[in-house]
Amino acid sequence: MTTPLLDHESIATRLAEIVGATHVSSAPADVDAYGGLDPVLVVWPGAASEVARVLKTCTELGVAVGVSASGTRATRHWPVQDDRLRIALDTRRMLNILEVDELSLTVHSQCGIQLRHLEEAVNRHGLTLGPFPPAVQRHTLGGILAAPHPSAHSPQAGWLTQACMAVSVAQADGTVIHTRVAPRRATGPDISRIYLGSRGALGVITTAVLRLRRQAEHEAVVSFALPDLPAAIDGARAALVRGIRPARLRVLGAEQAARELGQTQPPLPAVVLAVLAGPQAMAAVEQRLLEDTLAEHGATPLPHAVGSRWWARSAVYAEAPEPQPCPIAVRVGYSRVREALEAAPRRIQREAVLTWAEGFSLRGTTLWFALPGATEEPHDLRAALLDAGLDPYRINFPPLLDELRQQLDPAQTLVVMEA
Amino acid sequence: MTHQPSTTVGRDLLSVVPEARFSQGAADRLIYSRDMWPKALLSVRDNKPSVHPPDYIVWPESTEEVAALLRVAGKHRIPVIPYGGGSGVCGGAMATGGGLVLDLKRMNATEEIDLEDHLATFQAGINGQLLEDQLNLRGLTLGHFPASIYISTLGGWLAARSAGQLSSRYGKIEDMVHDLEVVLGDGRVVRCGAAHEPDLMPLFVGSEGTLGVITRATMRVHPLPDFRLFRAYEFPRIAAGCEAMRRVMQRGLRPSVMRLYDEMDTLLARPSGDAHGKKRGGLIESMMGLAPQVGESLGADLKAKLMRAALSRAGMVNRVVESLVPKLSGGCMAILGFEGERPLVEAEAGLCHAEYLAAGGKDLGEGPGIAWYKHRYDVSYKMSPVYHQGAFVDTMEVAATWERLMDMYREVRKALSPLAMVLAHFSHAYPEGCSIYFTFAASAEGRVKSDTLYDEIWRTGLAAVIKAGGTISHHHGVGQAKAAFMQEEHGSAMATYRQVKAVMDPAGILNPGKMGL
Repeated sequence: MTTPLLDHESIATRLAEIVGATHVSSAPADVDAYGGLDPVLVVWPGAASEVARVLKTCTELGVAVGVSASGTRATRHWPVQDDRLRIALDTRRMLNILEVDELSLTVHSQCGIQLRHLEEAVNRHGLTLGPFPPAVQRHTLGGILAAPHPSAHSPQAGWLTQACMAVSVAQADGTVIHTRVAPRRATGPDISRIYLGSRGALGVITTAVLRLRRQAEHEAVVSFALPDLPAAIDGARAALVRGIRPARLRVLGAEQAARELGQTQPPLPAVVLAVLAGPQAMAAVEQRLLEDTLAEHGATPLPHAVGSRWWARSAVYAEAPEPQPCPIAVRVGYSRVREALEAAPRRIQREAVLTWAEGFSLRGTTLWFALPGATEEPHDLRAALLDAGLDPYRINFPPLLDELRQQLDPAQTLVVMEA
Repeated sequence: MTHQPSTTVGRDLLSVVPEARFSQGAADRLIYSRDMWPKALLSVRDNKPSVHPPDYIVWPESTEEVAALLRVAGKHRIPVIPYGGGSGVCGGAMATGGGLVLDLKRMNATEEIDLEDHLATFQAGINGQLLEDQLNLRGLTLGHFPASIYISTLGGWLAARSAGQLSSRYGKIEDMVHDLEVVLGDGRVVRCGAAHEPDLMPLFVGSEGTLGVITRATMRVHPLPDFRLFRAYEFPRIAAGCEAMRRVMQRGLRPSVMRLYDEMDTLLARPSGDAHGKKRGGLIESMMGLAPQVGESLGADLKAKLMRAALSRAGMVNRVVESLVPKLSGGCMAILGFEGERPLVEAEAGLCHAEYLAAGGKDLGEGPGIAWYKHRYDVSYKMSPVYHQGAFVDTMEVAATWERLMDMYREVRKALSPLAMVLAHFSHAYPEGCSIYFTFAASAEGRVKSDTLYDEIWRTGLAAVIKAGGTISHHHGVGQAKAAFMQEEHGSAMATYRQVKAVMDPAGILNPGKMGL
């Protein structure tokens, strides 16, 4: 596939007619921000209609479009396997919150908004997106819907993407589709779901309607030391089996516990941190059941200050002061937890592996592994997990999705984001 | 898409399955010519039970056989109608132009129950109650209890995006499925689900056989509850009961059962308000406000005449009933149910009780809830007698966000009242909205007029739903009954559905004539 004889300026002119000249740039300082995409220019549309017209124009011109979610990991893209010119479409101007429905607990928002700003906005109505880890909040709404993050989960609220009730999507041919809002429906396939997690391959999500929750009436933060990591994960599982649904449930291995909670003497072999949120009467019953359950797994309650310090840091979004170890996440059923926990250190055979678990459900959890000081993905860790038959969390672009892509975007205008 | 049967097709199908699992017999073609779509009952009553019978019925036993059968169907461009229990009420499993029915009920194996990960894998043709029994033996439950559970299958639940009576705790079927195996129109077998990213499973769940044939599913299962508790309340007005439901769901509480009956439906539900199994009235007595013993004393002919006369003057009767119902029923009954570990259930029930009282509810104790639970599947079996007596009855299950819900309730009632007797209950509640289950009954002289009236009621009701901002189906699906409204339901996204169909079913053989495609 080749680009017709076009220079950057004529593309820029065509796009400027759509979004305005001030919202198109080919300045190196601007285009260099888009990493592996290597675009000739960047365009900042302000509305779904502009996104659609940009896509239609680029399809007509044979120009590839990579969608950016403002500096998060979604700015990385699969390598483009042809010599077409590429542009970056950056959604960071699409920040408007269109409606907060306080009766039905929904928010309709443009997708360029960072989740922390969306969270702050709905907090002003006494609402929240959900008790997700703060790391989720640096992503844009469009970015996290197109490329879901493995930590965007809470035992109480489920996956953040499950909160998505409807989307508007601009497609490569310039059409915009809108799915309609309903609490639940049985009117055919859930079309909006093909765009969630598809890394922008099928269209650009421009707005979304999300379910909200009321901010917790009451929160109880508890922490426990357990004899080892498998026992801690077993204990967390047992609590869920009894019907407890913590807002947050996080299990730390020894090294990660020292990192997050500080060094202790003796060191803590494993820690369970839980936030029980909801009406006070419910939270109190859940706390008692959790304590009983974990005690059966050898737990010792830790001082209240341990949990509350963690929660004070964890509940508020803040940029990390220094580069953090780059983790690998793997989603596993409980029946394979021990195998996964043993696979990584056996293969690595070097300093301690930071290990923690979050994203608990009745079926399993997400295990996270990182090497201290390694700010790039540790490939040997990934290999160790793959050797053990565990598939680290990353895009697994199925052939069927590729066929859908051929149908919806035959010119392959849209460049797929990398996980 | 209409098919003419041929011996070549039969021979090719018999190359896949043995003769014992293949039929072109008249009796089988008649049996498989309809599902439980009430409109088809009008045909049956008119001695035309089989308008578009299928040409072939095949009972595959494996995914490989399903794939091979679909390849044969594709080669001959035969319409394929996947068939589970045949309990659908929208005509989704009815042939529209001959073709091949794939009855999946022989694919009924329980393949794996993973106690540690709370997952269970079944072939798609397994009967719903048998599936639940299998899980119960291991101390587990799926948590899915549709009224059709005795006669429906897992594959049917998934294909139509079913909901069970305990959905406010366990969710709908789409919330329960973990992984699917599907055979596409060209015979390719695909796996999709939570383990695959991105997840294409939501395309197949609810597609009613138009995108693929579901052959196997891994379901998320739960521990069997060790404690269950019911409560019932009465609200002076439906809006107050709705408000109580909304408050409860938005506090993050998870009752297993949440039902609220409007005044007219309370009359229907109230005869079941006896926890000790006292004889309950039928639908006819209930809709006409008659005590069961009065209904019985009338005699069948007189009762039928009375009912037809009343239902054919629905507008007038509705006005009379609406003025009398508040005095007769005393208000709107609500039922709450809870299950799980006892301390959690008791805490949750206590909080809900406070919310219901705060919203103006009067405590009716546990009796009506226990009685409802005991008879929870009965209502589906009350409909046939209405047809037998010359009238018809159907249900319209729609949903909207809380902001739009009461408007939708009023608009649909207003739209349908001149045409049919209407009653409704609210169930399947979520933090963001709720479903309304309208029941309507009407009567017209003769088949043609009955059909015309039936279609007009649906057209009018669904138009009111769309206008009020609701969805045309919460859990019965679309099939043929609601196909004409799919464009309005989905708008521009309908074009995407067609594009998806072109990928999954390139020859267009899968369940044609459904879903507005």
